[in-house]
Amino acid sequence: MQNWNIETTDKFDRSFAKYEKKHPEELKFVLNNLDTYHKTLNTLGHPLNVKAGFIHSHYPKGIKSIDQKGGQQKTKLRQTRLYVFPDCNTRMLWYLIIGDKSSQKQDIKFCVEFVKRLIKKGR
Amino acid sequence: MGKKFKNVSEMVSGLAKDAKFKKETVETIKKQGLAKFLFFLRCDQKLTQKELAERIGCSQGRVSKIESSQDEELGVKDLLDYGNALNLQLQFGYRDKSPKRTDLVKYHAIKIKQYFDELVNLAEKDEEMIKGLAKFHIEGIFNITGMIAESLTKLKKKLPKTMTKEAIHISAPLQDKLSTIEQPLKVKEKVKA
Repeated sequence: MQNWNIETTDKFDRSFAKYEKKHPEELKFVLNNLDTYHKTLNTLGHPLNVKAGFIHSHYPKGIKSIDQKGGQQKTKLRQTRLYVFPDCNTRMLWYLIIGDKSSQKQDIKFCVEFVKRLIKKGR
Repeated sequence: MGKKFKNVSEMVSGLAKDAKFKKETVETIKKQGLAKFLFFLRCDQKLTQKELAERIGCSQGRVSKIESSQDEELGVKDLLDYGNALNLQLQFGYRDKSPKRTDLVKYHAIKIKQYFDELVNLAEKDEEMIKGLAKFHIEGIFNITGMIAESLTKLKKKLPKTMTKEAIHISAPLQDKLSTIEQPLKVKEKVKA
């Protein structure tokens, strides 16, 4: 089975830099969960087959988010979400943006618009 | 557009600026290989943590803890519990830390040969079974040859034109090599006798 490749957006790269600087612990746990998601996706093939407490799927257009839950957290970490879009046609896992509760609305809006553009472009 | 990567560790190495953060994150990912594998096994059988906990006879909290543990914290009991609950047999083994892919292909080819031999031994006088196994052998020839051919087709696109007419050396299968190692031992035993 062909592996899922990863592509980031410019906004993702910028939010990654911001979180690395300001909230590295949260980012570390989110990335570990993201790795679990990506590895399982590679083996099971379809995003619908991967279900876990740290994956949230209640967004439009097949967008999902990965949070910071799990692992041995020394301090209580702030809620963090890394938004992804698994494009089944191209087997590309898009890393869209990283955000928290306060930016949730704008983050989802950006993700939906990005995915709409992606679909319109014919991927 | 942003950047392309093959996996999360590669992405972290590519995007992170702070060396300490990069190292810690990649190590955290590496240290949870077993837990991630157990997570995959549960997902593969479409079970929730709660459903798996019921099968094991423990709390959902324990399943959650197992799936976020580092490899060194997991016990054999955890692995056995997952195996029993998912109706899987636990197998242990060691291999080189960084085996050559070509050696892995040879290893699995020998394993496939062993399984085919076992199937042939199973077929005694049952005509239906022999017919079925013969069909399975032919299916195997098509599928396995097809897989290798597919891989070769991909490789041919990358191959320099000068290379296509060169002769290819085919090494002896690993089993033959093993038998040549075993033979001198037998000779020594005879000398002793």
